[in-house]
This record gives sequence, structure tokens and C-alpha cells, in this order.
Amino acid sequence: MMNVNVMIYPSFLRRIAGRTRTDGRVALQIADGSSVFDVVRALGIPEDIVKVMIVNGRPARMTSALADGDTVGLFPPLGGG
Amino acid sequence: MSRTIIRVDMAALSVSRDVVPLEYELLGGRALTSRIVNDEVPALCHPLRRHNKIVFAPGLLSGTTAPSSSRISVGGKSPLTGGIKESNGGGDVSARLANLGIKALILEGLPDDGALHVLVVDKDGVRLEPGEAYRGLGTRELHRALHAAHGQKIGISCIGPAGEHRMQAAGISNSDQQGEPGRYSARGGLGAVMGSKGLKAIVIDDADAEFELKYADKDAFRDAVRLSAQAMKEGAITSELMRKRGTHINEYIDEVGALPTRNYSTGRYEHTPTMTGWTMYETIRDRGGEGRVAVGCSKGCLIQCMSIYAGKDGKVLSQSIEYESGVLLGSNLGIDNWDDVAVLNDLCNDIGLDTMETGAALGVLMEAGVLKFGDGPGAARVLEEARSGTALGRIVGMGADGVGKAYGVTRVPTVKGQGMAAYDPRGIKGMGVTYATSPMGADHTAGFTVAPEVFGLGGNPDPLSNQGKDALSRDYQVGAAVCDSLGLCAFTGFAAEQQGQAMVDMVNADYGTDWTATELNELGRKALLVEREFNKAAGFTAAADRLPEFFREEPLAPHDAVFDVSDADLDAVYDIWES
Repeated sequence: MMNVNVMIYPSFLRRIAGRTRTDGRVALQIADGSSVFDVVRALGIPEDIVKVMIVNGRPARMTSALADGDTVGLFPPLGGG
Repeated sequence: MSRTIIRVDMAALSVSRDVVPLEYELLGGRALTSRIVNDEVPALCHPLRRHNKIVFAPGLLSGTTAPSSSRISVGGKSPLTGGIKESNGGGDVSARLANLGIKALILEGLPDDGALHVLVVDKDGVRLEPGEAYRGLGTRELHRALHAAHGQKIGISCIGPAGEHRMQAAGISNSDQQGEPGRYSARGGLGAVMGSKGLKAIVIDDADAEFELKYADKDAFRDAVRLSAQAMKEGAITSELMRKRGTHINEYIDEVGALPTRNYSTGRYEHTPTMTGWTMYETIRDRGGEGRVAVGCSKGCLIQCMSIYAGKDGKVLSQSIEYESGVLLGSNLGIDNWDDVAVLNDLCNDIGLDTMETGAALGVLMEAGVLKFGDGPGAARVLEEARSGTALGRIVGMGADGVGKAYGVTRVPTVKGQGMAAYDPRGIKGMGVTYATSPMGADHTAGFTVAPEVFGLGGNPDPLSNQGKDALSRDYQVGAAVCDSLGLCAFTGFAAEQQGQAMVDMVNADYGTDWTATELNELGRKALLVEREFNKAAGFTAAADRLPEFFREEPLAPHDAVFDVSDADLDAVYDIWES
């Protein structure tokens, strides 16, 4: 098993049962060799609403492999600025 | 009745109308302002003396039913950069000018006596009225006075005290459809040029305008608008995300480690979790009162990215705070709450200052130790000094470069004298290329590579890679110039993919052209080349297309990144067309 820190922002939080915090940092334990997709599935977030994934500050994909201690950010489609 | 070009001679206090020359017919917005400035303003002129001009031009699609098409372009020689400037702004001023059949409004010359005037534009014509009664007014009080004199249903472009003080960070406020000031043509100090010409405000009343827009193919235009509206509705960003959290993308830029924090000293801010668009909108909803979310700046806008921020008492604290303002007056200053940001945003709006340039300037001021990072009330006091024109206030009014020179600070985030936007170029290298090479100076909308590099829209280049960023920035600079010339809001670029075809179809149906994406891009490319030509004549060389030294040498946490796109790549952005 390995530990990852997941950043989930409010628009997703409401879809995850039992989560009410606005600060979306969640520590998660998942199997070695897991990918971003495995994290999304473990948290029960519908994968089609996750459009931007950032791992350790670098843009990533659903298939990106994770390592122990990684930070994973999960975001809806982005636009603005 | 065909469109006209209005010329206002601020020395003779006279107005004349010109027929639109053939070569300008298919130019609008930025393509038109840059062309007129390059044709008519001597590149070596002093920007605050009589040879400079200010050109207001609606975009090619302004005044039509095209969604989000009321962006105004304001052009001239910039007192901040010393080069050409196009200051793009929202609100509904552009649509009103277009409704009156005005292709461009050109302010020329300088009054000998320093008197202040107001320009009134309506169905009966264009005339100058005495404006001394408005001297010194902030934009809020000015709006109240102009509404009292001219009614509620007017558009207003105006300057605050900053423009009257000739400050290089002074912008031009454009009113929104609610009649509030704050949709700024902010960048590059054109407010100072308007002040030098003795013009406090332009009042635009398009009621009962005689001009009637004749589409080349009315039915085809209606179909194209339908396609565009469909694209807005199908895009997640344009259909709902902006209404839910505005333009604020703090958590994304923070997560990739490129959020300007404490004067560009680091790329992540510990307070980002409580300073997102989500927390801002939650606060607005919780406080009720006069606060609002999902507000559109112009009639018919489907994106509605604005909000109105209320204080704890439910009274308006600030008109819409945008992402750029929120970061440059927030994390960049070590300020950790939206209330303090709102106060600063409101002060900039009322005084007539560019929030971005002011944020960059205050960041340098804090680095200089004049204020502590995080001191919101202290920053507010300094801005009040800018309002009254004290020496310190005037130093801040010079923008980031001026503050840096006054205090011997070298971490000054500017290019061509203009402060950067809320993306550190070490963390998003394509933005560094845009900042360095855009004829506008350091500017984000001029080539918004954040869209592919961080949002994953239209590609997935690694923001930390230094490869291929010249081509990326070039493509986005052309795209921006197209958008700016059509009068379309840049956020229409986040709509679903039909928007690309809809843009071409709308132009063809309106003007009877036979364009494809190629001709549309050519409109943008030519605007850029005209701007480059002006800048070259104004004395700019390749040396102007570089980032400040510290970006190459000081690693930015969390990635320890430096800006390492080669000088050859920076030059390649425009060499491809110019050599």
C-alpha cells in the first residue's frame, strides 16, 4: 500500500458522501502501482467530471502512475484567468 | 446610412466625421486601432503631448447579436511602455458605439488651457461639454453625476484622478450594462493620455440611433449566432463554471506552482485554499444584501463571469474582482482574505488605476520594505495617496518599474515596462514567451498559453518544458489578435468547438466576405505585424523581447524552475514573419 495526498475542490466534494469541508485535502491509502484513475474511483468521483489532473504540480493523465507520497489534484474543466 | 469615423480635436474643441476609407472596412477593434495608431501617430512622439491619439474602436462583430461581442479596443502610444497599446475592455460601451454606426472615435490634440471636458455622443451627433465640475472625481461619483445629467441609460468611458494625474498606471473605465464603472481598458496607461487631452469622460447614448446595421445575409447571420450560442451552452466552462466561481483559477495555478506570491518570490501560496472563486462566491451568497454572482457585463452575455462583492454588512465592497486582480492584490501582496482584496480592487476602480499594474507595483513596494507583505490597510492608505497625488502615491502610480527604480528593487516583474499577469513565467513557460514577445508588453490575454499548458485545452504541452513554446505563444498571439479585432470576449474561446466555425460564419454573413479560418487568422497576424512595425519605429529592438534577469537566475519553488526558453526561441516568434 502507499499514501497519496489528494486535493479535491468543492464542486467534487459534494459528490462524495460525508465530506463537508471546503478545504479539500484528503490523505488516501491505495495499492502500490495505482494510477490517477484508481484514486478517482476510490473516492467515488464520476470520472467524466474530472478534466484536469495535476500530480506533484505537473499536469497528468488518468493513466499516470503514482508513487508513495505523491500529491494529486483533481479538478473540473478549467477556464478563466 | 453608413458607418463613420469621428475625430475630436481637443485643441480646437471641434468634431468632424469621416467616411470609412476602403482599406479600413474589414478592420475592427484591435486591427483597426493598431492600424490607425501606426498610420497617424508618430512613433517617437511624447505620449502625453499633442501628437498622440486615442482611438476607440468597436470590434467587427460589436453591435450585433453575436454572443459576448461588446468588447471595446482603445489604442494609442502607451506612456507606460513607450510602444503601441491596445487596451481591451468589457462592458457595453462597444455595442453602443456600434449601434450609433461609429467605426472609430479618435481623440486628437491637446487643449492649450488645461480645461477638462466631457464628450457626449448620441443620435444627434458628437459634442464637447464643459467638464470642470467633474475634476478630481472618482469613477463612482463621476458616474452618479453623469447619470444625473444625462439619464441612466447611457454608456460611460471615463478616467479617475489617476488619469488626471497623468499616472502611467492609469486606465480607462468602461461602464457595464448595470451602469457601473469598472470594466477597464486598464493596461498601459491610456488613462493618462485621456487626462492629457483634458477629457474626463465620454457619454454614449445610443437611444433612437438612426444607423441601421445591414447584414450581407441576415438569415446566415442568425444561423451563425445560433451555432455560437450552442457552442456556449455545450462548453462546461461557458455554460456554468464561470457562473459558479467567476474567473478565479487560483487553485489550479497554485497547484502547478506558478501563482505569483509575495512579489513573485515563490509559486505557491499557503492561503490559496481559502482564496478561491468557490470561497469568494460562497461568501457573497452567505452575506446576501447587495452581493451578486453570475452577472454579465453586457446585454445577452451567456457566460456571466462577474460578481458583486459585499462586505459583512451586505453593502457593496467592490464591483467584480477578477482573477488577475485577486492574485496581484492578493497572494502577490501576501494578503490572505477576500475582504482586503475587495477594498484594494474598489480603490483601483474608483481612482482609475489598472489593478494589475497597481498589484505589481505594490508587490515591489512591499519588497522594498515600505509596507509589510500582508498589510491590506497599509496598501489602501498608499492608494489613497495615489488618489490625492502625493509623491509616494505618484511613485506607485508609475507602476512596478517606477517603484523598482525609486527603491532600488531588482525583482521587478515587467516587460517593456508593463507589469506581468498572475502566472509566473518560470512555472508556465509559454506565458513567459508571450510576456517577452507580445508587442503589448507583459500581457496575458495577448497570448494565453495557460489554456493548453495548464487547462489541457487544445493540447497538453508541459508548462515546465522550454521546448516549442515559441510556436505555441505565436499561435495564441494570433488567436488573441483575432478575438480582439472581432470585439469578442476572450472567454468565448472556452466554448465548444463549433465556436471556431461560428466566428467565421458570423463575419461572412455580416460583411459579405468569403473567409475561412485562414483569412480570419490573417486579420490577427497583420494586426501584430503593424504593432511590431510601430514598436520598431519607436526604438524597440530584440532587447525589449526579454524577461527580467531574475527570472532566469532565481529558481521558483516548488519546482525550482527558472525561465530557460532560449533567446533564439524568443526571437523566432516573430522572425518567422519578419526576416
